[in-house]
Amino acid sequence: MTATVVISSGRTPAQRVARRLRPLQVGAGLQAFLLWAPIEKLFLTEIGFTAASIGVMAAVYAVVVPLLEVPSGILADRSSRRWLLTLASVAIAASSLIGAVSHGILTYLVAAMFLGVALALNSGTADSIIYDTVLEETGSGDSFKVWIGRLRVIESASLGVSAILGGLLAGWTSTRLTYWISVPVALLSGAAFLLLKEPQLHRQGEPAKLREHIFITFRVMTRQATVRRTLLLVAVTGVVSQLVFEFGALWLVALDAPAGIYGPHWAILVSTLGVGGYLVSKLQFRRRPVRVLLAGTLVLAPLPLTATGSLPVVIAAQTLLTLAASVVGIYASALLHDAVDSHVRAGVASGAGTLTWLLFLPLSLLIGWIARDFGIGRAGWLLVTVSAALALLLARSDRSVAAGASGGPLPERVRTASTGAATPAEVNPIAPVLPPIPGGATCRDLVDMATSFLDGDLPEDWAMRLHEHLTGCDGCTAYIGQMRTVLDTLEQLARPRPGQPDPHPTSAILPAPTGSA
Amino acid sequence: MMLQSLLRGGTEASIRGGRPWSRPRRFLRWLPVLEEPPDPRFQGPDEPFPGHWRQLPRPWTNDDPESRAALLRNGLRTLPDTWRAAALGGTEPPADAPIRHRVVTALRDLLDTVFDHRSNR
Repeated sequence: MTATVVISSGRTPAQRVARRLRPLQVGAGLQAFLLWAPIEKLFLTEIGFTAASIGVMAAVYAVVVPLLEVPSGILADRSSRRWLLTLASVAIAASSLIGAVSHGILTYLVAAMFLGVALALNSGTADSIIYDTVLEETGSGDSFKVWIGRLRVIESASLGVSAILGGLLAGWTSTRLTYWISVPVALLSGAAFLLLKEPQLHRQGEPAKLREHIFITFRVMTRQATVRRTLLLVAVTGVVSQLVFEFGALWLVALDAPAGIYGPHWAILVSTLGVGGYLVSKLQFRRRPVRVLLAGTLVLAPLPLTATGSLPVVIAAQTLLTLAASVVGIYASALLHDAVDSHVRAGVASGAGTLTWLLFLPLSLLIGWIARDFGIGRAGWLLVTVSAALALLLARSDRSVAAGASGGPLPERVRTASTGAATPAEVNPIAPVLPPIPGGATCRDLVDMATSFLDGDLPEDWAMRLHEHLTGCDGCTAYIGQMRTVLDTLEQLARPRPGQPDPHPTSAILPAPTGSA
Repeated sequence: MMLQSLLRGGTEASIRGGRPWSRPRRFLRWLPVLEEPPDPRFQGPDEPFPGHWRQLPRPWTNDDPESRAALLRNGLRTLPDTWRAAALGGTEPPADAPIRHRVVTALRDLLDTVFDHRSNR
């Protein structure tokens, strides 16, 4: 009888992932609950900000965030990622607190710096936690898109609700109160993150020296073609989203939209983050119609923005574009995490964020200049161009992943047979994964099914065909013999030898077998 | 150090699969196609015996139970608890069967590399 597996506790992998990620979801939802976000510009004018000083504040973000992203990502890879998220929450609380007591520009700039620090600490960290948790509990990163999508839904809902409540609160009381109330909410999010059972994959094995770790992180980002292309895909996706969020309102200004439209316009754009997160779990990216739809949306959606005329059309175009970018962003993030190892995951993911900023800054200056000198319609063509580039990158990234992303600069990577996507825990875990065997089994079939075959878990007809194959294939007979040897050794390792203390903790996770089991 | 890196990297990489889009595709038109990446150990569709070994697995001539157990123990130690439990505890719950297969396959391939490496000294 097989000894009880204590770790699993009878839960399916999906249930284990859900349980482990719950604190992260709660923390992320609370972190995104920024009551002051919708009224920030109003508050800034109250304390003396002008357009120029708002530009200085934007420059503060532009310096702090890219400078700190990769270093904080490397720190997350070398230590506790949940502590990084907690620190980010503390930084948001500090930013809100300093904002609440600000009566002048300089003080608020300090608040902006703390917010920049929080953004940098957050960048890539939550994604890395989700991916490694999914990997630990399911053995595959395939359901990462589902879980990151859910996180985006939660963040989007939190942003939307806080935007409405913040506006109402500021209207009923004062703009300053929204900052005060945001402080304990941010601290609560930090407390939620501390409850997270974070994955340990990035801490397995001997830790590398800091200099070596930094070197490896940058080498992964720059020397591996697959990672480079995927980083660019993630970054350009981010740029498309940011361009619409930052400059989308300019089209409303050009069309003399009433003031009451601006709030719903912003809410619709923010909601696409959540809708995209929901859709990504429903879309099958491997199907051609889905990829055609996404690429087509990216190319066609911004076209109406080049000829401004109808407000509903402009809003619909921007909504479709941000929705497509949201979906592609999650897909691209999954590709990136599939391509790198856990030990450099947060650092590389943060690198994508830095690249986004580096691309966004000159493009934002360009779009601002074009809009000012040639009109917002001409600026729309820049958006069309960037979106079309994104569609092309999307196509190329599919091909490069299909060609076999290796993931990480680890020495002498052992190539092994992989059985493809892990099946959902609710479905029979064996049958959907295994292909039908129309005639005789091949060696590859046997390698893919070896463990189930030796465990006696295969359906009878498959087992029979593999038996038939073994009678005529010396190579597979040797392979199955080696697999049998490994399984026998694992079985011995699972039981401590009688009379001898087990010097290694491997078998400590299992209770000693009872009776004759 | 080398072995630990090998065990850590190889095991994790094999469990990740390294090929997230490994289902076969049939359409090759004007959009890129996600083809199943070829496994170099097996003959391809254009070769005489598709799906069969290109080079037969080599026997482990230098295998001995003590070093094999030590290698597997070290390899298991580098894995997350869930994977280790799946490898040691059989397929309970059954949903862990894919994890178990990947871990066991990775360990077999690691032993193959190590014993093959030692036999070449």
